[in-house]
Amino acid sequence: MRTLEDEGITSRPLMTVRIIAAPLQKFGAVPYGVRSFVPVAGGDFEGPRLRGRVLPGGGDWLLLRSDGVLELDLRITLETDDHALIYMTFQGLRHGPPDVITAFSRGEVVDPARYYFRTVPRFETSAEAYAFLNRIVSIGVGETRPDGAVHRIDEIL
Amino acid sequence: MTCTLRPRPGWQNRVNYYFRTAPRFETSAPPYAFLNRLIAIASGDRRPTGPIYTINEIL
Repeated sequence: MRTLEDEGITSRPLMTVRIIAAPLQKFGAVPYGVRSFVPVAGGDFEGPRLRGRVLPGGGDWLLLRSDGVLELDLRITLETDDHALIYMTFQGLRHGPPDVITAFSRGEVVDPARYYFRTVPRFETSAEAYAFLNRIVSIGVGETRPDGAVHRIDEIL
Repeated sequence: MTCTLRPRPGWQNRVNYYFRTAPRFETSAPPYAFLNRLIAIASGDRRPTGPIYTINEIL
């Protein structure tokens, strides 16, 4: 069976995004699952080619599916240290054993090796210096923190 | 003597264009329910008969 490595596909670090969340808003059981919204209060990001802060005002529209998988749908604005704006979105999945999910609800820190939290970030920007972001597919590894989340993002080459 | 140069499989993909996708799956079949729970990345390879996608699960 062929793998991406066979195809010459590799990845390289893009950035780490730290998101500070505001209190959760619960919509409850909607037709698609249990929906909630996490407003983004702020945060920061840093990588070899870009760094800056996460602006307040974005959010993550979470959906807890009937199979226990949490679907993420995040939309935020990044502002680089040279004042370019980048629109970042991602969809992702988070799931783990019941005791891990319970620990999250108590605001505890859990070893990220104990759960699956992967995302597919996409970017839009008009800033020339960061236009490469418009043209890449990337993968994020997420860590749930009591005050938000941290995402380590790799560019797929 | 005539020598024909033939690109290696995947050569065009690697060199001439960037073709990456993030496939998602939905199924009700228990043996394949793991597909509902994973994130994947694929490399696309354009062929005259249609694209070939090499898909890896992100662990």
